[in-house]
Amino acid sequence: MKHSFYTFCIATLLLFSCNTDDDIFIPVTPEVEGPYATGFLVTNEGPFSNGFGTVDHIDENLTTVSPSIYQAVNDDNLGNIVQSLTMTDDNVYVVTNVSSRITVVEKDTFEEIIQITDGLNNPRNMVIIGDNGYVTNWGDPAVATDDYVAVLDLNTNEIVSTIAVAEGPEQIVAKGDAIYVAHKGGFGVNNIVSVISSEQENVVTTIEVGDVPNSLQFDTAGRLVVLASGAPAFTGNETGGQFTIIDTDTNTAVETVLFTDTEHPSFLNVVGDDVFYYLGGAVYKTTIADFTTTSTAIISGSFFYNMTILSDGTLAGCNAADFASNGTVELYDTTTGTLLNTLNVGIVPGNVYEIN
Amino acid sequence: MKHRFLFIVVVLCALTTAAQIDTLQVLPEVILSDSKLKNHSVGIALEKISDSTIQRSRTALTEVLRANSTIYFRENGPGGVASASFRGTNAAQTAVVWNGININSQLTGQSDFNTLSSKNYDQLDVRAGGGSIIYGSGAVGGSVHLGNDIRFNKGLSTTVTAGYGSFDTQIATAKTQFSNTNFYIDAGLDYQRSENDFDYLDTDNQFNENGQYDNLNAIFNMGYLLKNKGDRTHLLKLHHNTYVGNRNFSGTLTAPSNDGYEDRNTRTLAIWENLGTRFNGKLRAAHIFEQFRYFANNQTDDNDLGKSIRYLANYEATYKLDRKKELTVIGEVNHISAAGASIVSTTRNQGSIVALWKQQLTNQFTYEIQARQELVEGFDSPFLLGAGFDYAFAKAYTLTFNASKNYRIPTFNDAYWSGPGAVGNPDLKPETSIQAEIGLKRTRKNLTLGLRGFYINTDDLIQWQPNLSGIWSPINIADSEHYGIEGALDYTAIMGSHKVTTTAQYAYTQAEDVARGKQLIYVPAHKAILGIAHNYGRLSSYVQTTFVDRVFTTTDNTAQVDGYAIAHIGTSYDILHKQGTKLQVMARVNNLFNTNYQTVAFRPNPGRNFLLQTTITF
Repeated sequence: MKHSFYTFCIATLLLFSCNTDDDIFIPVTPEVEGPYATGFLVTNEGPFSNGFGTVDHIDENLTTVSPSIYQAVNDDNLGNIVQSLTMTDDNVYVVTNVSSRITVVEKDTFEEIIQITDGLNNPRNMVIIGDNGYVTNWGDPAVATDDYVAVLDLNTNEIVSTIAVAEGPEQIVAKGDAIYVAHKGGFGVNNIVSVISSEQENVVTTIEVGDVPNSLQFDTAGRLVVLASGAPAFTGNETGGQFTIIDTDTNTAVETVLFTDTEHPSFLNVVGDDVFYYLGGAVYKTTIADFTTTSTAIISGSFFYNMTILSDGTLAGCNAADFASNGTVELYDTTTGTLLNTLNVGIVPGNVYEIN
Repeated sequence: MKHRFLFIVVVLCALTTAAQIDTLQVLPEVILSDSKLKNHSVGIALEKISDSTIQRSRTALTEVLRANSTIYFRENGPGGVASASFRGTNAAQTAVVWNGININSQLTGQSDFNTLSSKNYDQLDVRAGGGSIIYGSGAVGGSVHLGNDIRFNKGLSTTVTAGYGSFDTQIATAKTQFSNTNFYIDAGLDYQRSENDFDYLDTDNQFNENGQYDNLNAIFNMGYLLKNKGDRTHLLKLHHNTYVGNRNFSGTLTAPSNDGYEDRNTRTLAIWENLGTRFNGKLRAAHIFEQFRYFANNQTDDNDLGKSIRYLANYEATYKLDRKKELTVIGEVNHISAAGASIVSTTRNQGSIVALWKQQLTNQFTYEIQARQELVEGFDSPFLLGAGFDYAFAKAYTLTFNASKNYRIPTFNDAYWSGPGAVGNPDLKPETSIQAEIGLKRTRKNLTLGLRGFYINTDDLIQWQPNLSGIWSPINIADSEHYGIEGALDYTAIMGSHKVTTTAQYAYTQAEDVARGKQLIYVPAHKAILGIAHNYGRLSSYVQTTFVDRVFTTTDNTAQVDGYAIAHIGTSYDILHKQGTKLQVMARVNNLFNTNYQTVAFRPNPGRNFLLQTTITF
């Protein structure tokens, strides 16, 4: 808190001096960077059903955390259950699930530009193509037929149209004009990836993958890699996880690897030719070319709510502890599996994002 | 008259239990539904909430107890889910006992105090301290007792109350009773509804959206004297209670809501009492039904249902060896079944045997030893032992002590839940506690002073946490340690036609998670209440004040809900007051100083609001 106030003061001073410069017409435009122009952002969901989520900032060296930066800068909160965030060159779009809201802030200062609520209903994740953002929405979780992808015009900050999709759209990625949505199934179970044409704003096709696809990324060859967790035991029809590679030219699965029926992997990370995933408290590393479910764990005894491999190869694992107190981000060396550092973050950390 | 009688009963019980046995008539004037409560609380403090206090508040038990006891309530705003905590223990460690039967939900192990009416019961008692031996699973921190009495020879009388308050709150209560020499019957209804759309103070036009509720509580009680001759009395009793509640769950400051919730609860209890000078036998049979429907979206009919049905049979035998020694043995069997959208349909059989030995050693010293062994299908249940004494060591002074082991068995949800993202754990152990308390009480003329210290050590607390697959599941994880001090003062001053009654209670509670060394969430270190009532002829006025310290909302104690102090005032006037007929009007101002306070984080409570009531008795 103290730290973010300090950085806020610095930021204010810098802005003030910039104005002064303008006033006396010195023809120099200094490269003024806000305090959050570099480093990492952490989304913290916050306590469920009451309270609010937060976004923390971590410096480039992954050592210092500025907590609740949106709250510190804007004296307001992001709403209930901060689900994800997405960046453009200038802005950050923070998606808040239960409050059904996207908060648009300036990327380097985190000063609020606008809050968007109209047209959103249980928003989850967003991807950007050109001047549009595409946001997955569950709608009413109890209704299977009202799920959609909202199209956000980034110039006007308004939801301009919606694309109806199947139940439980979650993660969303884009390649060219094509959008790929993994349907986890909301509170139920789904097993498809929807392919959407952003130009025509309709679903072109759906591709069957494993039950509960929780993460998807492109590999170096531009193929779509999908990891499904499988249906959990309580559904009465437990299925194991499934790894799928999809050829995006033909939109068909070209490779499938099954886990055993009681194995429920998650948090796929494709890094070059390597693939990392999380299963039962351990992190496994294998390859795209020869994906195997039987490799040795590189990290074990961990308890992650999510994990991301950063561009320098460091693994950032979100540990939500007991979900009722502040969590941590654990940083691991993925080569040696050693814990490098543990950073204290907010309640229920959901993901770590690199500012680029 | 009733109050005076009960006051005397309470005082006599606490001080000279033997005298009571001495003068015990086979058929008492008032037949309590749960005589165990007063007879077997040696070393434990009982606080009775008076009828007049209950009448002042709106219907929900939460509202009455929050302002008149040191029980801490974690209430999601008016009408929302409200759970009670004694001495820093949790909601499932607080038992609600209806006519002697523990009625905590079989599904959640708790009672939602906003689904319990305070109206139309003859007895409302608060018992702080371990009570698992008598009242079973969950009576760890303390218990709240609702009772209906049977009285013969009272003729016919009816009381009707109608009330209207802020936020379009409507209250209607009616009860009629009739009795002659060998037959008693009463029936009561109370209904409450409210738009409950109060403004959130200090916000921009935010208000309590989706907070509407209505509920109907019906009671029916009957007593029939089969035989009342010589030293033997046979009595049949029937108690019934139906509760129908419909409500929406309001949102919070940061999250909207469109949830809806329906409660349907019924309880029926039949008792055959065989009373004598040396031997009392009581056979009970009960049927207890609970059902809820949860609507994730109250605009649709889609809902999740959960229900449980419980059959209970119980025999209680009391044998008085002589005037000073008494042995009670209780055997009980329960058959419980539960089903629902997110629970594996299951049945559970449990049986228990309880032995209570009570002896008055001298005129000043009474002790009791209690033991319970329960057998629950699928769980190992601990052997429970407790002991207490009351020692009237000097005139007006009593020293009390009680120590006991208590427990809570895993609920049906804990054991058999099976729903999205969560699964029960049938391998759980019961939570157990070892606890002790010592008290000093001074009772003299118009002044009663009580001071108690307590210590509770709980093991194997059940908490829901995500497992390695991210599925939430309960485990026996935490241990906690609680200690604190409670003080109580009751003072009545009579000056001519003026009568001033003062009630003050204070509780200091430290409750720590042993591993973390942090205060448990939602446990205030301090809670205090102060009530002053003034009576002059037909006019009565009162002020009730409540202070609650801040509570932590995260287990690492990094976030909190601020403490608050609020005051309610009210007045009543008897327009008509004749033999057998009474017409009374009442007015009340809740939250007099318009304090913006929260009981649960991000859930504001109403500012200043009003309630008008009229009561007619004939």
